[in-house]
Amino acid sequence: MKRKREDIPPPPPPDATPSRRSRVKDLTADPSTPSKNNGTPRKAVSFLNEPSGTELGRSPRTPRQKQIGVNDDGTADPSIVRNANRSARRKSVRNMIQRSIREDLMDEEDGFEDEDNLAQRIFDDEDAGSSESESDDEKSAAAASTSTPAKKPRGRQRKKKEKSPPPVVTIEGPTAYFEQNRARARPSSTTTTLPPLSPKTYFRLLEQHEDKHAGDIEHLNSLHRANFDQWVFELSQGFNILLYGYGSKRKLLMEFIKKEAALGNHVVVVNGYVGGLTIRDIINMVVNAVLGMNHGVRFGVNVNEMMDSVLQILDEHREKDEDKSVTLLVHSIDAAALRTPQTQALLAQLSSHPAIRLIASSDNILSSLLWDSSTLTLLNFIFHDATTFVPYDLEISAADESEGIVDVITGGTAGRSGRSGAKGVKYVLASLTGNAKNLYRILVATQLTAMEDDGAGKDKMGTEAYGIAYRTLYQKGLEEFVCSSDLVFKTLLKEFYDHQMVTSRKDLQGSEVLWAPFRKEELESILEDIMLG
Amino acid sequence: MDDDSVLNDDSGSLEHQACYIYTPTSEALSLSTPKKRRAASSSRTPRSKREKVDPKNCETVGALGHGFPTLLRDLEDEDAVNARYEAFHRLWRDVERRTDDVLAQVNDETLQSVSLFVSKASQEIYGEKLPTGLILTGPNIAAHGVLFQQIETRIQSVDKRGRVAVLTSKDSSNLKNVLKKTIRCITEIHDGFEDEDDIVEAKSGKNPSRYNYDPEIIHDWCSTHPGAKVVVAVQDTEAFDPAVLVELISILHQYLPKIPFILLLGIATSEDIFYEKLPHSTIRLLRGDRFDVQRFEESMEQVFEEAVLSSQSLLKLGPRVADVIFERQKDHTRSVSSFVMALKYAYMSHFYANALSVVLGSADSEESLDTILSDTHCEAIRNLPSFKPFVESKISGFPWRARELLTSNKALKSAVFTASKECQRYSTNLAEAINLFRKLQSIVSPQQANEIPTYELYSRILWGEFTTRPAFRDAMLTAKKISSEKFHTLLTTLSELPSELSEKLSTAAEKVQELQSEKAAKGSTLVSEFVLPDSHRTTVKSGRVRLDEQKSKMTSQDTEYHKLVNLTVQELETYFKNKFKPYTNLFLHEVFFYDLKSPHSQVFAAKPRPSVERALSRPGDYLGCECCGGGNDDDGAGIGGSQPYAAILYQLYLESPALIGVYDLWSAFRMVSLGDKADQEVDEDDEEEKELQAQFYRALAELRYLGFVKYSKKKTDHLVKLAWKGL
Repeated sequence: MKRKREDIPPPPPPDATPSRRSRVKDLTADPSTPSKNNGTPRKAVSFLNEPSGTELGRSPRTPRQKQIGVNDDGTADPSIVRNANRSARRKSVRNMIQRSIREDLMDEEDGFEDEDNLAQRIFDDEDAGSSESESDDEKSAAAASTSTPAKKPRGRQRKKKEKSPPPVVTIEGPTAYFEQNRARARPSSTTTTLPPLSPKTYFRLLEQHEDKHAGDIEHLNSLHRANFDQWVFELSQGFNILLYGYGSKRKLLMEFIKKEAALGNHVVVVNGYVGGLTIRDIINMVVNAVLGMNHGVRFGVNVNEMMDSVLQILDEHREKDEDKSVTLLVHSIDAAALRTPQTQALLAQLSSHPAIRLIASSDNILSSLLWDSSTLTLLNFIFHDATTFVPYDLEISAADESEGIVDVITGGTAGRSGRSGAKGVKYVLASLTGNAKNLYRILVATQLTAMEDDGAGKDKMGTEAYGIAYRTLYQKGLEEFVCSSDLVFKTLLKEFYDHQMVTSRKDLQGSEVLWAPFRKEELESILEDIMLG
Repeated sequence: MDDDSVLNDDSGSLEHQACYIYTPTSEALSLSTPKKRRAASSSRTPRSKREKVDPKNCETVGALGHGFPTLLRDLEDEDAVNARYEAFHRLWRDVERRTDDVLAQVNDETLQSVSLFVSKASQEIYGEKLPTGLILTGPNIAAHGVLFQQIETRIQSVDKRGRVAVLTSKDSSNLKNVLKKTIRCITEIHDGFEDEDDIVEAKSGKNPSRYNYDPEIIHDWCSTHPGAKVVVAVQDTEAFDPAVLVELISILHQYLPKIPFILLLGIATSEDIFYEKLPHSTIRLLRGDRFDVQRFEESMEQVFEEAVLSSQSLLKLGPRVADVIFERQKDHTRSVSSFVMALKYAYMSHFYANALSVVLGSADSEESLDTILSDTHCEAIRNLPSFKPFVESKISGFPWRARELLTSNKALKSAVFTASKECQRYSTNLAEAINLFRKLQSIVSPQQANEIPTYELYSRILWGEFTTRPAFRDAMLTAKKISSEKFHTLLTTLSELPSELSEKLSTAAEKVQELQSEKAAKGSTLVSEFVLPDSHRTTVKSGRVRLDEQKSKMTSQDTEYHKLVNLTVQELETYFKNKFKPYTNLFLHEVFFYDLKSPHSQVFAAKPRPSVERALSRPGDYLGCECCGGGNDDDGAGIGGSQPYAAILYQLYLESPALIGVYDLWSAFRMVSLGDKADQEVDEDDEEEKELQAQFYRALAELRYLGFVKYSKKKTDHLVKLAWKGL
């Protein structure tokens, strides 16, 4: 299946870019652009009256209507259009021919049919189809304006289609899994990217937005608040509480904690979603809560030993003042920072102490997998469904800055090349040492020189061909006193790898080649940044 | 102490701090003061149901301070709330104490034998081999920590045989750490900072300085503690790094001539697996014994009998909740401590939410019942489901009594007292009968008795349907068929148990004894008709002849014995049928039996995924709003544009293939959210469009945060689907 798939849709190599670009240029310059808009409704109509839609339907479309995946096909259409487009019309003709030859050899794959279809469609009305070309980053604005209207019929079509075959939505569970995981002969999408949105606008807009369900959400939360007394009682009886369900439980818990604090308990709040949080911080804070800030107790380096002494301190505390305990409030106990088994085991050990009351929230759908039976026994959780429908603002923005929401916001640029994108690189570099910056400068400069020599366009991606050999880079680093030993060099490189600022591969001779996976233009701006900074 | 955390969370500056000490705001503090006054003042105005659970009246100390709400539409007076709270504590403490006693004894046998093993282990017996105790702990790893702690205290403090170092797999990162920990445990040198390989200062001049992982330190310690054994116990051998374990064993072995080392290994799986894990050369260094820990079922049964069946436990578990708890035990946890916790939660929720649970607090004294039960309580009692059949039963015989119950609170209160006695009697009888039946079963068909523990019969018995079950009928039939000697032992053992039948049974036992000796004089044994093989009694003519022959061989003693067997078994059967009546027949069973399924089934098993999936696919279920009801969409199967954005996105996500293009998702999202407006010309800078886009980003990031998608490495701007609904 897979193999079959591979040889059919020819994913165009990135070197097709120049031609693509020129097309986009044509397109934007094309005075006839409005005609696309005229074309679109026409298409929509044809989608609606499918049986009679002779103009584009042709025979192969009709059987596909019966398939469950109709909807998916809907989503896929433009992508295929794009594919076909990219490799030009000639290619689609070739595909059609190939397909028709092969058709009798393989069973009816709707995916193939699809492509076939589309190829045919493109063949039929080339002009309309070409509007759905993908945008390049610098053109994204223009591209978005052209491609978004082109999407319209598809969205529309989805809605209408839902009406006619109801089973589309109803497939769930195993059936859906297999249906959706079937290897298809088509990628699901274009490389069209979302129009970018700056983080500033994003947060401003979110703040402005008025939730249409604000009242209902408030009511839902008031229901949870009504349970506060019960929670207090449960905590006082030696149980720990874990809240789960959709929605941020931060506010709810912060309100709850007021009650606990009013009882005279020390409260330690842990924001699990904050990166860089360690169990050591939590233990330290618990000790601070018990003994006061300047307790002067020092702990060993080993966390287990640290835990032992903390438990001892808590024992003493308990003897002195039986009623008072420490309430540990952990927001997002399943967040990345707390996800290791060791951390959870220590947390469990801490929470099992009678002087500690733990109330935590969890968000991930698989959070139950965090604990094995012995930690679970220690944690002694009472689970409550606290679905709040409050948006996870803090949690997602703090989740991990490198690839969190900011990434989605920067849209194209970030997603295009690895994770962090050129913008991210600048942030990372700003936080690195001078030596690391210098090393990156050497790498980028060398790569740019190679690209310049090659006459690469400013959209050209950095690839292996422009890379620099590991040893060479090391030598250069030595010469510029960036690094003094191989070990230092490796440490510097590690940082780059971690942020996906560098990619490497062993070439045929077995020597390692490094390069920065960004477009030339981006590299230039990075270099500029380093030089100026 | 809180000088660095004066900032209050609401100011928002602490949201991004990893962890901090919470300081209540001045507003929150001031809020709590008037509440106290209010709660203290006895004048209470009836409030609406909503307000009943309002947190405001719960800031005082005592019951209210621990979150106990005022029930009965807020008409319950404070004394009653406090009485409920106290009753909970008194009753639960009692149960807890008894279960703790049982649990302490559970491992007693093992502890004793391990301790004995440690004291006996010496070079004379084991020669050059390292004395090793394999402790087969069973699969419940949660209990292992407790067990090893018990071993430690037993050997170290109770029997004073030496010192114990308990190692867990956490310490097994390298040999140095293991040795350090061992030495620290044994010599009790706590110098605080052991991060560096400190050199332990020689305390007296004669010893040279050593590294703190040098076993010679233990040797020095031994020289000052003659006769003390040094026990190294590995709690979770399976998880312990095998390489480190091998090294540890070889070191212990090498020091054996100098230090009386003893090794204890906790094994959760089986000996075979343990042997496979270590090289033969290492195993050859070990010699010793194995110790079995009591099976889970046995300890569970003991705890169950003590905590639930015992007549001292006033509150019983109802059949529904018992089923939930035991199913969880059987299928998931298999740990006694988690059962105790579940039981505790049953107590908690009973006293927390049932206003009438106050009866349990003063079930033994009519006077205190009289004072604590207010008019509201009486009204509540009249509303109990069990009150109706109770009154109806009175109508036929004593109509005046029925009227009295309905009109006079005094009469009702005395009825409550009688009912509480009745309930207690029922429970005592039930415990007796269950005991008797178990004994009978263990004699008659020991195998079956072993297979089904008491607590699994419990719910059937409470429903009153147990006597119709095959298990019961089997036991009764086999009781008839056992040999006369066995029958005799059965009668004698049963007669020893306290029950109303014990006298009858003992006389029957004497009679059997008599008949037996008479028969024995003739050189044969007693037989009843039931013992005759079935085939002889049921076949056609020829068989019948033989049957008659056999029958004719029966002596007068046999016939008498047969009658006796028949009679006794019948009596037993009626006895059981009498005792195993459904508990729902009892008046006030709502008070004496806790039988709510829902909190237990929800509170002990988290369902994060189904709950998130439900919230996102049918937001109306949670929000209860008009617009998002699952069914009232015009086209039924479509996605309502009015739903929360994350819900819309999730439902689109459900329909998408395994690899999702972000842009596709966006255009579909836009389509659904905007509805008809989506057809209009798009303006890039349209505020509305931008806002929708921001919502889309957030919803997408939320899905990612919840674990539904991750970024694809294969294609840019694509997401990988990670979860299929209902899968």
